Parts: sequence; C-alpha cells; structure tokens
Amino acid sequence: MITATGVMDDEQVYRLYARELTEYATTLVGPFDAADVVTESCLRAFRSKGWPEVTNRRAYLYRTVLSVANDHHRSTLSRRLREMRTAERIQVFPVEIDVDVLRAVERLSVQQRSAVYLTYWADLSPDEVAARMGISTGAVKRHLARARKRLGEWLA
Amino acid sequence: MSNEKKIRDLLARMVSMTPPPPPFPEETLTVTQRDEAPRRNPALIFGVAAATVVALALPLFLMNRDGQPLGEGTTTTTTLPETTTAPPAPTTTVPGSTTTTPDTSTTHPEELVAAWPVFFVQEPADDSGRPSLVPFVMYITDRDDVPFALVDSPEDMLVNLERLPLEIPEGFYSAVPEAVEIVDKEFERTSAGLNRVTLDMNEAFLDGAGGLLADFTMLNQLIFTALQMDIDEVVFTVGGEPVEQFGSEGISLVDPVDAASFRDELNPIVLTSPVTATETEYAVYGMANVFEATLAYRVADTAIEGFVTATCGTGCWGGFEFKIPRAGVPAGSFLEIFTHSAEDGSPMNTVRIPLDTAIPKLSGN
Repeated sequence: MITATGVMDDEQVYRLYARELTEYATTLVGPFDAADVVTESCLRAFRSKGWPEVTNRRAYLYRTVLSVANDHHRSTLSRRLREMRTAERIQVFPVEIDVDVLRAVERLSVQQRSAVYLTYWADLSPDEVAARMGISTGAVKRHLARARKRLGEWLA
Repeated sequence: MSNEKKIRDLLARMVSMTPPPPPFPEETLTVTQRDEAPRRNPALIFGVAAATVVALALPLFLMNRDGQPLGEGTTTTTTLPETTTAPPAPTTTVPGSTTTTPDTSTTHPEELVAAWPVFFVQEPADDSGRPSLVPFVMYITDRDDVPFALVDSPEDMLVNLERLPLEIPEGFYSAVPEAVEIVDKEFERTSAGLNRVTLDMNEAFLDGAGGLLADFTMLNQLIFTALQMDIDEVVFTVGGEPVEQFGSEGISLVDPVDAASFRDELNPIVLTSPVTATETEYAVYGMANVFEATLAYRVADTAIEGFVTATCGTGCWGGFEFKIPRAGVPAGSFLEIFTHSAEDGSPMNTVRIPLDTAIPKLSGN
C-alpha cells in the first residue's frame, strides 16, 4: 500500500478509506446518494491545492464528505423528489432498505447525523468529533443534545 | 434499553444499508494530469459564480419585496465552480477590484469553495437617517483553507466574518456581534409552499447588538443575507426554542420573518443585489420607500448623474434598477444614491457604493 517514497498515492488512499467513507456518507445522506457523495468528496479532496501536504488524510476526507453532504442537504426539493421515488428504487437497490430507520434519521440535520455517527459509531471523543467536523466541541455537544431530542420517539 | 444503546442500534441498522463503495474516480489518476490541464481562470470562475448568484438572488428579492412566494422552479446553487465546465467568457473584468488577486505562480487551479452575497451595513453619508444595507459577493477558495462549516451558507459566512480572510468594503461594517453563532440550521418546505430556514442561534444572539436601532439593523442584516438561494422566510430559535424576547427592547421573533418584517427600520434606500458590471455599463438593483418614489444618483467626481423611479413610493416600498455607463468612470469611483431634502434640496438618505466591488456579469444575462 505504501509507495517507495513512503506516501500513498490517491488511489491507494481511496481504496483504504472508501468503505468507511461510504458508511459515513450513508448516515449523512442515506444509502441512495452515499456513493455519489463519496465520489464527489474524493474528487474535491484530490484536486485541492493542499491535498499533497495533508497529514491526516482520513480526517480530511471525513470533513470533505461532511461538506459535500451539506451541499446535498441544501437541495431540499430534489431530495424530496428522490424520496418520493424511493419505493421504485428499493426494488433494484443492492441492499435492503429499512424505511423506519431512514425516517428516524431524516429528522436530524446533516451536522447532527455526523455528530451522532462519529460519537456512537466511530467512538470518537467530543474533541475528536469536533476536529473531524471542523466545529467547536461545544457545538458537537449541542448537536448531540438536539439529536437526542429529535430522536425522541425512536428512543421512547 | 438505554438511549445510547438505542442510538447505536439505529446506527447499526443505518450502516447496514451502506451500498458497495463506488469505484475509484479514474479522472484524477495522477497529479501530472492535473498540472497539465488547462488552467481555469479564477476570474472566469468568480464571474460565473457571482453572476449566477446574482441571477438567482435578484428574482428572489424582487418577489419577496412584493410579498409573493417563490416558485418551485428556482435553482439552489452553492459551490458553483465545482460543477462549472467551460464557462462562457464574461464580457469584462473589473479594474481595481478589491478582491484578492489569485497567485498565478502555483500549478493547481484555485477552486472556489463558496461565493455568497453578504449584506453589510452603511450609515448614511449625510447622517440623515437609519443604516442602509448593501450586498457584496464574498468568496472563499480552497487556498483560504477554512472549514466549510464556516461558509456553508450566506448567513454562516456573515456570522463567521472574523474567522474568514474576507475584506469588508470600505465604509461598511457588520452589525452582527462577533459572539453570535449559528448552532444549527434546518430547511423545510412549509404547508404554505414557502422555503423556510430555521436558524438555531447561540445565547449571545439574544443580547442583540446594543440598542434598539442596532438590534433592528442586526436582524435585517441577518435576514436579508439568509433570504437567498431559495429561501422565503427565516425563523430564529435559541436552544431549539422560539425567541420571545430579542435585544434591548425584547423584540418577539416567534413568527417567521422576511425582508418586509423590519425594513422600515432601515434607510429608505437599500440595495437588494450586488452591483454588476458588463464591458459597457454597471447595473444597480434595490428597493426604496421615498417621496414620490423618486431617487437620484450620481458617480462622485464625474459628470454621470440621473434620476430613477421606484415601483412604489411615499409610504410603500418599491423596487428600482438602473444602469450607468462605465465610460468616464475611473477606478476607485463611488456611486451615490439619494433623495433630495424637501427643505433645501440637499442630498438625503445617501447610500455610497464603491464601484470597484461590482461583479462581472455575463453577456446575455
């Protein structure tokens, strides 16, 4: 995986993290668009000026996935239309779709989904979550508190 | 089962829906290919982005001004250059622009991360009234290396100004205190068919900006800035709860607000879109509530001057737009828009805009 110079090339980096980034993106935007978000995120990261100097490429890619997911979330109307077509897409989608879970997660903002995923799935500390999201530790705690509130029925 | 276990269960079920990872994006195989690719001119990128931002923002403001909901066909766009390919050449570049000149010595093209019109405040040059608002396009590129969360939306850019490498145009300032933050934001389509953004603010928001007029100015600056890109109305919350008392006088923000909510607390002349420039002329867009709907303008220290009529006046807000030639306008010029005093004919309610901040407008738009 490591080249002679000790630095992984883009494709090696991609192969190393693609799976977990797709998991993360699935939590942020749902299973239908996760692959697109990961592809766009990696293109954005690989093309960025600072990419060759990035020391923690994994964290950088996570932040980029969050950025792209935020863009995605802003396209509210198109997202709603896609959701309306969900029933049709379920039949051809490669994994089983749990609509109840999607409905529960849909109540959360992208930032809240990210904070919940990184805290409870990736088991990161609030400081680590903050660094990976590019926000303050206080903001992470607020996102988590609000996420728990919005998941009220699920947690009941 | 504890809440934590339930959340982990939810995540497990969510993650179990993860599709196979997409294939490696082949088009970015090597750095060499990127370096040999034709360099995109940042001016073109900015021009396309800014012109599109203006094109999208203007109809929204015109419609908001008239109190009409926005149609569903309006496009939402954020990081335009990411998807822009082979942009048509803008008809002009703006000489003496206050925006940063990109470093052309690097081998990687500069990528525009965000370009948003952000409203800034100006006290009337003649001290004759309340503060005015004027939007300027602020843009951040990947070379600025700032977290995207700081520039995710126009309103994010506004509240994070002190953390961003942005230059506020001379004569303008932000009325939003530095301590104010957006904790969370949520977009929804209301039953009335309006696009609403709910901005959950931190506690510092509740303190306002120190004084009733400053509070209104701060609110208007936030609202006008947020009412872009498909947004019709804004709801402010703190800790997820409605804001029943804001600022020094306890302004209620329980109901949704829009550009009409507090505009009477502004200077009667407000710009609603950044000034644009083609090769031959500048275009100016705004709204006003002035006597007989009549506004005057002039370019300071030149012979360029004229009058324009808003669509409504003397007690109601109306839109206005006008164009002025670029010929004879030297770099560093200021456009002044004002009314005449009924007493002595002197200029009143003057808004003074640096024309060097005008953004290139594509031909045909």
